[in-house]
Amino acid sequence: MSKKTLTREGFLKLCGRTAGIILLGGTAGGLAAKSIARNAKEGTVWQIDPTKCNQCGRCATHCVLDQSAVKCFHHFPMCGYCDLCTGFFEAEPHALNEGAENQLCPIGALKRRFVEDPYFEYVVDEELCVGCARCVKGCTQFGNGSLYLQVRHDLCMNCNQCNIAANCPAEAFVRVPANDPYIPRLGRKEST
Amino acid sequence: MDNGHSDDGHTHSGTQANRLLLRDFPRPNLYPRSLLPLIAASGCVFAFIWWISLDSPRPIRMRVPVAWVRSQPDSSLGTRNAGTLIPGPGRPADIPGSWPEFRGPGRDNIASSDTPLARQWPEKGPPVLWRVEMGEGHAGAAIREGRVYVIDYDRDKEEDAIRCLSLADGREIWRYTYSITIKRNHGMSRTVPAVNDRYLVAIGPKCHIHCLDPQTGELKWKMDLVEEYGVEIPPWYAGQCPIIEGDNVIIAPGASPLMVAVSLETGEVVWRTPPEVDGMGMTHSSIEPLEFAGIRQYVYCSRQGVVSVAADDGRVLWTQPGWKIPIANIPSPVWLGDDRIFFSGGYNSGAALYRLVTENSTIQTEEVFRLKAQTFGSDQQTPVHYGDHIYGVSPKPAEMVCLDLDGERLWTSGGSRRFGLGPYMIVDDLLLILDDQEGMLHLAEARPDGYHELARADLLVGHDCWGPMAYAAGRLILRDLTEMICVDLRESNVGGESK
Repeated sequence: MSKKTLTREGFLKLCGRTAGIILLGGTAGGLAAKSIARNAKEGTVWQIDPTKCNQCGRCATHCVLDQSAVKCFHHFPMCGYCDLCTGFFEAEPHALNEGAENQLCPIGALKRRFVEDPYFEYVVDEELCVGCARCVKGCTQFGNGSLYLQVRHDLCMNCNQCNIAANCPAEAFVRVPANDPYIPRLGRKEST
Repeated sequence: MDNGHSDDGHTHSGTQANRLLLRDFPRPNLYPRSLLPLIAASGCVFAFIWWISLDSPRPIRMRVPVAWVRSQPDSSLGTRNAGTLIPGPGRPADIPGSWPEFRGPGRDNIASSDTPLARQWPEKGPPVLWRVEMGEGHAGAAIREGRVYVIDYDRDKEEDAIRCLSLADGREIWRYTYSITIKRNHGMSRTVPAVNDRYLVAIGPKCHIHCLDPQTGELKWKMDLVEEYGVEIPPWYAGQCPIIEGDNVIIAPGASPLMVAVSLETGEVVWRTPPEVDGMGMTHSSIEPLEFAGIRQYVYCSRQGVVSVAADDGRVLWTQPGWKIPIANIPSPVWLGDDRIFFSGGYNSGAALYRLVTENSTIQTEEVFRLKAQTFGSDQQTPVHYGDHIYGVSPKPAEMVCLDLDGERLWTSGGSRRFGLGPYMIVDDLLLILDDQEGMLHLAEARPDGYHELARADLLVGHDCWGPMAYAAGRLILRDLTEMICVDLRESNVGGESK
């Protein structure tokens, strides 16, 4: 058998073919990767519908994380900035001050700051918040519900079978688009 | 040399003898004992520095009261505008029917309609006749002779505004304004005026009472309850609605005195309650008139309990300190007729029913039952007594509830129908309930055998649709925080496909 030698022309053809294959493969791979990424982004994740949540407290205890990925959010445009905040204070507080005995939050995750008379600003310390919903309950029952729970998606493990969702008695856990993973407090009308 | 015997003649083993010998010899000072603690201490210091350089835990902070420096709120009337009447382009409508004060002509939140109301609504809801922009608030409307009266607040001008609108198209007929500084606090205005053929009385957020001519808007007289009686303005401003009884308007300052009757004609005090009930505190609750044992009386839920006074001279007839709500008492008492009166409230207060009895020519109260908040307790709105049942939205979990007069829950509207703190009323045999967050108006049958919804319509943007509704001549007036609308509920005008 005669040994085939690589000519200059053959070399150029080989280079062309190789470049074509690489270009084709790269393009296909890129498109596939982009498609996968888009699918992942356009998938769905768990979120809490504030209108369904009944503040049962299970978000604090049923998350697989040591500290729940559910946190209290505060919709400031709705807040009345009340001195007597029913999300901050026990139903029958001894006094309207920051003493632990007067506060609903067991760990002091809801902070208040005097703004000007008669206003106080209430801010959630998310590092402390465990999503127990006590403040949400107080705010919803006696106020207008500007405090509400949401799953923080920078913390959530995105378990396929969310343990809180499986145990939510109000069926408040719903699937929402991953690229729009939060449910505004006023839902559909907030943007109007 | 150890020969196995000690000097005292006892025998020792060889090992022990060797140890004794070693102990006696000087040892090389390679590892001095004094260095060991130093090494251990250095190790500890190194470990401590390492530990301290790691992410530190949050410091423990005591949760103790903070001494905020606060100023005293100013409730005085401004001097810029002591009172101005501004005419508008509107004209009174030629429409019969009235809703003259809080909870309507019967003070029961029940209306009857001369024309049949639609029991089905088209997809877009019943027609909205007009929309009027309002300052933030929950003030409801009073209606009389084709005019709609509502108290409002203009934040730009810092003025309370008593407005008279046309029932036909919502255009303003006149407004009476006066300067006062009011800050947002879950809304500003939140009372319903009272009107008859000659007088209109409104209570402002900071307890200023104005009596006007309902046709022209001209001032008859005014009164500052803070200046006059040292009233403590309730949290979130005044919510008490005045009631007109004959020639007088009845108001409960909750201070000294607890209650007064003021002549509509002159503005003079006709009677005042005695000092024994002074200082019981003003609440958001309104006075409930009732008649028992042949005596007309006014019942008021103060901060320190319930007080009933005689309508003719203001003498105290009975008190009931067992019903008081520590944070805010908002619903008014509900007289069930005969001898029973029903109280409800929020903040875990629940509800209670008392029976009035006469003993030795005095009136006493007996508690018939008390309901926990989980069973029933209206947070803001006053429940409606219709037939032999009580209808109201209970805050846990904000569903419409029907109670019998023994306090038993007959039904709830279910988890898919929650109404928050929204208002409700009955027209003919229909329940009208407004969802406070979404502004959705629900129409249901007022029946004791279950919640039967007929229709619903998305009418308001929301949020905080807390203002009481008003009804006259097939028209329903309702509002959210910043807008008031008038809806035509008449069957002849609703039209469209049934839902």
